[in-house]
Amino acid sequence: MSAEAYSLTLRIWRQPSVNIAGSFETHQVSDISPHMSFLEMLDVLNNKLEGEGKEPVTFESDCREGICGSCNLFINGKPHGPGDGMTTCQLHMRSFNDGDTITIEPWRATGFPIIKDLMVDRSGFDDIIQAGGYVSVRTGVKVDANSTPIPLPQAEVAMDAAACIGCGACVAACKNASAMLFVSAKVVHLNTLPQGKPERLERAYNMVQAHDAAGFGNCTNEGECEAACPKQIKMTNIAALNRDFLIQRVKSCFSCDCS
Amino acid sequence: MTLDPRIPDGPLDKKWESAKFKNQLVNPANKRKFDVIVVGTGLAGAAAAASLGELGYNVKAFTIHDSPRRAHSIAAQGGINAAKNYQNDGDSVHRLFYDTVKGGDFRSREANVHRLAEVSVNIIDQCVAQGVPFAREYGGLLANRSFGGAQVSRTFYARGQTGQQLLLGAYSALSRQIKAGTVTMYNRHEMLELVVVDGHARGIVTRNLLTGEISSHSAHTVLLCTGGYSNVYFLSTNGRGCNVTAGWRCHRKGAMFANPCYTQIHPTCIPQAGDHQSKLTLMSESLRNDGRVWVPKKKDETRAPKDIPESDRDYYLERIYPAFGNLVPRDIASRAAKAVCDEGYGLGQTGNAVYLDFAEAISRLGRDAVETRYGNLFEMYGRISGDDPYQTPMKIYPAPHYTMGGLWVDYNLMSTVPGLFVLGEANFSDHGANRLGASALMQGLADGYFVIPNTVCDYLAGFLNTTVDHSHAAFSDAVNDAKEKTQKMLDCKGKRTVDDLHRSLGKIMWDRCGMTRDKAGLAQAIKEIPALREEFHATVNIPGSGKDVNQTLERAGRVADFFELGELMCRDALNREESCGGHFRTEHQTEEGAAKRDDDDYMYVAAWDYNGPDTPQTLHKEILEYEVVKPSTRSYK
Amino acid sequence: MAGLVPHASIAKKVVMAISGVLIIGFLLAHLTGNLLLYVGADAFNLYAHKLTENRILLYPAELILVCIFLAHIVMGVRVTLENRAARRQGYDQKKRLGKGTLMSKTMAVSGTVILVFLILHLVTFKYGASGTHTLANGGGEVRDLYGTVLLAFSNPLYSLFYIIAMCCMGLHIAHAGQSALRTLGLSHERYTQLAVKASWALAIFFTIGFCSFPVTFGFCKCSSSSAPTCEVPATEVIP
Repeated sequence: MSAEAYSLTLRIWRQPSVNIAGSFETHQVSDISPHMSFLEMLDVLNNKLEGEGKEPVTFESDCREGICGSCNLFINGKPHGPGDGMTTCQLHMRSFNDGDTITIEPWRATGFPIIKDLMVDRSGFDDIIQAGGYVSVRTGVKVDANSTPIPLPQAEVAMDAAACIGCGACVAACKNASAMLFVSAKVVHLNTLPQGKPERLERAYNMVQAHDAAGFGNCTNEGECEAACPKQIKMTNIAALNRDFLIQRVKSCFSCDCS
Repeated sequence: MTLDPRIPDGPLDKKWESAKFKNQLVNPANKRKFDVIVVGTGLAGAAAAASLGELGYNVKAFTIHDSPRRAHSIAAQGGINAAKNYQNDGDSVHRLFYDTVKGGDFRSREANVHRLAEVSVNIIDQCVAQGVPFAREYGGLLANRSFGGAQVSRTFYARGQTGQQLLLGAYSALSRQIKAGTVTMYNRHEMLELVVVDGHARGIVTRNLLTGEISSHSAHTVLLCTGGYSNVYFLSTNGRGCNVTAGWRCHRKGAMFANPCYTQIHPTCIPQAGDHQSKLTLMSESLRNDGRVWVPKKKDETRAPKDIPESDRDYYLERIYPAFGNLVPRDIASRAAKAVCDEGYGLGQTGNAVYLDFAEAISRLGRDAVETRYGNLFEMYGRISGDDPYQTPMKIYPAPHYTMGGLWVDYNLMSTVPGLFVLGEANFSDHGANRLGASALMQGLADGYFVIPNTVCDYLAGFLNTTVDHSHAAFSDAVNDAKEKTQKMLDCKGKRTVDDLHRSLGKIMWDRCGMTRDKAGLAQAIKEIPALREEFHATVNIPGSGKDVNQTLERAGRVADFFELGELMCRDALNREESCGGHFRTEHQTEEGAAKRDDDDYMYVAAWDYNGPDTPQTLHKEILEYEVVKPSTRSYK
Repeated sequence: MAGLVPHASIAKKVVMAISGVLIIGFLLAHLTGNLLLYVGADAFNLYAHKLTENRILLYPAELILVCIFLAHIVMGVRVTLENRAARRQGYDQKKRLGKGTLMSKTMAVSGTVILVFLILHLVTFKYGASGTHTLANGGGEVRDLYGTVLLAFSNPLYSLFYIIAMCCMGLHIAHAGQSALRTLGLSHERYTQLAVKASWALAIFFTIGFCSFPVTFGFCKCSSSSAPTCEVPATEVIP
């Protein structure tokens, strides 16, 4: 364990609300241990600001162990900062050097309006899930859990997709602010499993509609999302979503209830 | 006041069946005439809101988070127990019931635990039908793993993120009901008051965390699903937002708080790295299957762990508990770690850490096998500590994790305020003095999916065709109370920050009411905490206004309640002159240092009734009667 | 067919993908026909004549082609505008995360260059003035498109722009090929690299194929009645 302590310059985006223009504010922090997490470093700054009677920087976090998806900082040009496959709260100061200048921005997307400082509104994701991110099953279903065997590889594909934490890094990284990786992760999770099959096509269609309505951009298959995803969700999910969407569209063309 | 748990008559395994039959029902057409408020949308809350919405009730659900998917249920790693007996290893509802009662050190209510074991099997069916991707075997059937405190394999899991997958399942069911219009979702709303009209819970007061607006909401019943209170220690495995505020405000309105001193300290957490630590991270208990716990035999050892020869290492768990070795239950492993560290054998600058060494497992099984079993945990450890656990032993230390105590509820999960129901970790009922691994998820979902839909109707049936008068003075009074309290904190403008005061409280709680407690320490804490509480109200500094997002204000309100809760925890711990489960009084131990229960005098639930901010609570006792299980001494030697 | 009216984002992308694939098919036919330039003026002019002779077939075919191009362009513009709107305020600092490529990031730019080229191309060759050419073996008089080509490429600026536009087209196709496969749901992790390579192969093929004309006829001044030789053509073409 080293006893070294960093001094850092922080360029932090401050914005009182969505309708008031924001700007960068520069702060100095010192005595930062490399063993601190990035958010603990911000806690130090906020504690200092509070002590001076100034408003602390608003940012979100909860579990601080990389699973709840609350934390969402755009650090030095990358969602969740340097390092692959981790969230902001898992980032530690040892990834930086003494004297560094660190730029911290909020997720920027029309679908994620800024609430205050680094806090954004991600309720668009809830809208997408409400459009079809579920299996329509009543509480108290009387089907034994083992009555439908699911081949291991299939279960693994579903689990890989289900690992999504809904943080929004995919949107933040995408040059089009598209949330297709998020949508596809949920669709593939449920559509791969036999339980999700009956609603497979409608789910894909409805969730894409909700995605567009929430103000996210179109996917242009760039792959920035995959590289930024803290849970390493794969872009192949998007292709699978496209497939289900397309089948639904073609089928609906040939069905009588076509509107 | 006598506490009536309203346990149904009849043999233990028929009680739930008989309760479901005897409880009054509300017919489908009448359900939509009832408004139900659900506070908290973690496993219990989301499951309850979804199930009740689906049944036809008008549900309003509230969460402090930006989405129900962020609730801290999401962080549970290990798994969920269910008496499916898919492994054919002798499991049964009765065995799960027995293990849970024994694991709780014979301080839980038999009837509740049996019901929990009964519905456990339905939970797995429900979750699989929802699309929860549980681990499977090559044949496509569900896989199980074993967990502490049981001799059968009954734990279902989804990699190391079972809580996440179960929560997302409940969240998806909830989302479906929101879409259907049966549930109205209020994200980023914090409950500040319970509204009681004519002795019945009829609504809540909330603060909109975005606009600061404080307003009231009415309903025929209020369901509290707001989780545990380990953050009273400041450092715990809980999420930063976890708090006792909703529960505590109900306590102030007459809901008794039961067994507050029962807290679980989890043995395998990553130790505190410095003074700026904001939370502690738990590492799955499963690590102790292959890891060996040790400390150097020499105090102030400076050698690197790999340079310390076997002869200079003390594998203290294997030494003291030769039969169970590194696999002793959580409470015992935690206390042993604290004991060696207190004696001065702890590691690092803080002296509060012990080694969890995989060198022997790696040489026996090979690195690949160890990676297959624990790869994700090793990665998580490496990320946080910066060390490579394949090369050098992990350092671990116990941390506050789960709270078995909570608001007192009867068999129907109703508190001492009629119309106020409490579900999940927020209530006290099922885990006694110690919770076994993989049973918190089970309880949250059992309460939400299967218990409350069958019990809330019994209460509501008595209020058919009554409307709740939202213009009743109780609502405006409660709103004004909440506004006043908020403004008072904002007006203080003192010198100390919220976190600073919270840390001070946490230190008192950890030192005096943590893993081990004693009379003098607790008495001391009961003096220190009110003094600190006064200091808090006199010197706390909250910048900004209450008119928009103000995270400091949110934290301050929660910490204010932790001060009052902390004091009650110490009173409860002082009152309980015995050691049981997570509650260890140094005065009450066997010669070998094990917990010594006093079944004659303390086989009761301690339920505390609120008397005002500066008057101690009154103790009420619910005597626990064991019809089926015969309490015995737990021994793991 | 209302279901195929592309209002959903994926539908728009599907329209772009399908029209893109059709355009590639058209390009393939176009390139094959153009290779007759190497055979000689007779062959090329006869080909051009035959292609435009039957008006009953020509107009519907042209209409379909226009629709395909319009669909691709309109959707491209729509998608681009929507994507801009999806992030009104950009980042102060933004790193590329290694996945995005030069091509993928410049689809709108390369597309615009190709559009400008397309207009110029139509003005020059489809609607541009040409002399007449007398076919050998008494085939009669036809439009001397061959001469128009030679004249156009004799302008080095035109040739240069032609080459630049074709390179843009190559870059466009290099991303478009694999992107279309994904959009149509035909992507699989196992074949991702294959799709990337195939897209590149297609892109290089078209770029070299089309660029060979300005290089041969513009910069090397080659023309011939039978095979390309480096001689100034005997009969100077008059527009």
